[in-house]
Amino acid sequence: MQNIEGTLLNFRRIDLLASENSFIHRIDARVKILVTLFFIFSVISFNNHEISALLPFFIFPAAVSTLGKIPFSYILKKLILILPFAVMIGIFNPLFDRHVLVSIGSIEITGGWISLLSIIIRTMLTVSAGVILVCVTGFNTICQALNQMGIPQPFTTQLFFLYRYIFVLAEEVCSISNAYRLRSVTGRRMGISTFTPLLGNLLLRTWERAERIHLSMLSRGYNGVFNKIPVTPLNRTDLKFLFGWSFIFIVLRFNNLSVFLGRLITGIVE
Amino acid sequence: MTNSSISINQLCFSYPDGTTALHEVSANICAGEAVAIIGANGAGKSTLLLHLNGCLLPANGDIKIGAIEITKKSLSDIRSMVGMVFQNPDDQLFMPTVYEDVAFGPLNQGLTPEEIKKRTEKALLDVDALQLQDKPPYQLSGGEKRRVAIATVLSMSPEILVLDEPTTGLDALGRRQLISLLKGLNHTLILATHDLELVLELCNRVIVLHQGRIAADGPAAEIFQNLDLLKQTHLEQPLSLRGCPKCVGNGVQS
Amino acid sequence: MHMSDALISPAVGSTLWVISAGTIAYCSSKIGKESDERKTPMMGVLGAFIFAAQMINFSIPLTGSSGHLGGGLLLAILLGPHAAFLTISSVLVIQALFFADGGLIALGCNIFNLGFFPAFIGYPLIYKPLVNKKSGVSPIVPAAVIAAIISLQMGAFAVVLETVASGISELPFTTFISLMQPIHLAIGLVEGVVTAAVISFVYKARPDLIRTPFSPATTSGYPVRNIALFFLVVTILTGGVLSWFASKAPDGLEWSISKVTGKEELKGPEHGIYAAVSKLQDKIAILPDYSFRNTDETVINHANFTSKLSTEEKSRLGKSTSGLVGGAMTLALSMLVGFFLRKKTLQTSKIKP
Repeated sequence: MQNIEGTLLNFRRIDLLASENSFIHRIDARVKILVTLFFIFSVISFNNHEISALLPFFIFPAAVSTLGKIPFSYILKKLILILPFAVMIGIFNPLFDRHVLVSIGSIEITGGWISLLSIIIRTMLTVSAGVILVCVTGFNTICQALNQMGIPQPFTTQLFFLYRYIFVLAEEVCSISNAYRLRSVTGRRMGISTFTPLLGNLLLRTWERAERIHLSMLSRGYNGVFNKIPVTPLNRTDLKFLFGWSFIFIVLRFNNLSVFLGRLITGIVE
Repeated sequence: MTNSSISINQLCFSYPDGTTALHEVSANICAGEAVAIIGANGAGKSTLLLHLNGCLLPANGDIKIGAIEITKKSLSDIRSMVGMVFQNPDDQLFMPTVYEDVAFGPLNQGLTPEEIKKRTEKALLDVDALQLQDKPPYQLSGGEKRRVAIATVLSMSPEILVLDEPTTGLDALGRRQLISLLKGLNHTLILATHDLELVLELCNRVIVLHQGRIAADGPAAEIFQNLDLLKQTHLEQPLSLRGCPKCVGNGVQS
Repeated sequence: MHMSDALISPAVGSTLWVISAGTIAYCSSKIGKESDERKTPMMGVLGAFIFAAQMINFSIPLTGSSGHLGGGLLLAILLGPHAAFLTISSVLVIQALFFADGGLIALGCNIFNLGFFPAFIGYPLIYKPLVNKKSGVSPIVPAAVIAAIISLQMGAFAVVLETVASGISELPFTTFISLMQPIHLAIGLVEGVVTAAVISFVYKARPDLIRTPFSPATTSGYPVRNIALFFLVVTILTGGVLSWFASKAPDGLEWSISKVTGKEELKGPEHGIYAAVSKLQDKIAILPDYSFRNTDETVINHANFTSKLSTEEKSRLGKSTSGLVGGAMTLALSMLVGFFLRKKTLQTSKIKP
């Protein structure tokens, strides 16, 4: 069984982090979503051999996670989990691209290795941005923001329900798998013949639960329509955050800050 | 509270697979009464309860709440008058936070935002859960969930409260808090329960269901002394009514 | 199969985002108009169910490995295409946000790859027509297997196209395909079998849950299932392994032509419709002459392309991959033909009393 307890803990951890109160937490969720998406967009718009121009982009996750009180170790853990997958695809780059781009002394570095490194850096940037977004905003707030930004209500309402009942379902799966483990004498993973009735029963119970939830909604006057969440206006801080970071991303995208700083420093030294 | 009585006349209901769940059930409940519906598992308690707010509609017979008969058309009126608290609080708490769950009912009643806020906060106060208002349901304990589930219904200002197995799974403290809470309300109370001690504390009247029919309907004291009836309907006497073990032999009335 | 942001380009990401968002909007409007208002809690709770179910691993027989249920086809069978698409999308949103399983810009791609095909192709175009109570035949296992395999093949193919079109990964189209398609063929097989098993189970207890009714009596040991599976195995064998050894000798028709005229394949007239059509065919055919076209011209970085594979190996790889892809396409085509023929037979049988 996959780590169900770990999954539940992850949800709770993120909920806890999202319920903090910091400057970043108070920024409107729509702004945070837009800035994160723009950040990722800028990062992935570089050509696939770019490395140095990507590095300054680490400013964003560093700043937001620090101000948002997100522990660096948490982000690192997430990165460590995800990087192997990126490397799995990226590792083909050195195999297929043998064109030498850079020589450092007698060591020749092919385009393949450079693009692999670029992939790794992109992964670190994009994944940390996503992780930070949900940790400083919270899932329910994100759903509300999506609704305010125009994502249709049937979808966002359904997202709310999904999130609400993930805990219930995950706990049920926990108890089922414990029950299985305790009664499977051999200790082996279950086969399809056990999996089918197990999942079938869970599905039936889940369906009946959904019917009961629906009944309880009806009992409280539900008539098929959820009330739309009112659109709250953005304040000055929100707008400054939005335009400030967007400006920074545009500048960094078209000016290689690493090279600039490098030249500046070597210029001073000389 | 106004005086909406409940009148159930010859109620009959069968499930889609053909099993008869209720057969010619009749009862009249006055406003302000606290009635317990008891019976063995499968006797039809939950089925009867689901009829009281129109979740199920009778195959034969009718139910009137005050002057309004429960039909498809009158459902929204009925549901403002009859608040139902389900057996499993997780089925009842489906919104992201406690506050939104309790506000769900008033919101659907089309009230003004100020009125919604007032009712929500009062309901939370009544169940002593105001401090939980921003919490997501999964963070609540069993007892807290039950109290909040009751609040979700109280906020709609119903006249009649229907509760299905309210004390299941509660620890002693949670149970005690629930009993005090229910004692303090002056709604008409209908409880389906196995917890006979709860019945003794809260209800003056008991309806015994057996295999879809009413086996008895009367004061709690009378019913619980009728040992033959209890045996026939697969029930037992509440512990507190049984004699002292020393005086009565082994103490268990068989 | 979840794509990450690091491997897609802004163009690909945005395009797929627009497509997915549009589909979400379309499905939402369909759901909004539905009279069955159980849908909203149902979708959410079943979404949670799928998410939780994906955490249960079972061992796949005959291999040592473990698998888990994807759930796309299952959702489509239980909820219908529109609700299923929304549910799958929402599960992907949760996975992307909480577990970095798939990027945020890549979410558009993932929603399309994993949601569109089971919901709008696997279920309505393959599963539903094949499972038809009225005709008295209830081949739920082959129906689910074929639907799952085709949905997953198309999804995997979409992943390859999107990755290659993005140009971040240097993995060439041919190698990528030869990795993705066979793996997902196996995954699709397992997914189909498990989906069919769970649906049968559920149907026995609550037939009202299943939207496309079928008679459960014929779900076990029905010969059609064996035939379909046998057909699949044969396709895999023929397509994959055998073509590896297929000689480069000109096949049947060309051989006879060369014998008669002394040259391989009659050359058509240079101008006119024939020329135009053959030019078009040249451009469309991704498998010209049963091997892969040289993709060198499409990527500048391959100027100094030195592959570890010798020309001989490259052609073998091309052949077996072509064989597999061709086999899968043939299978798909034959299913479509079968479906149309079946529909026609049903229509004609309706006319006769």
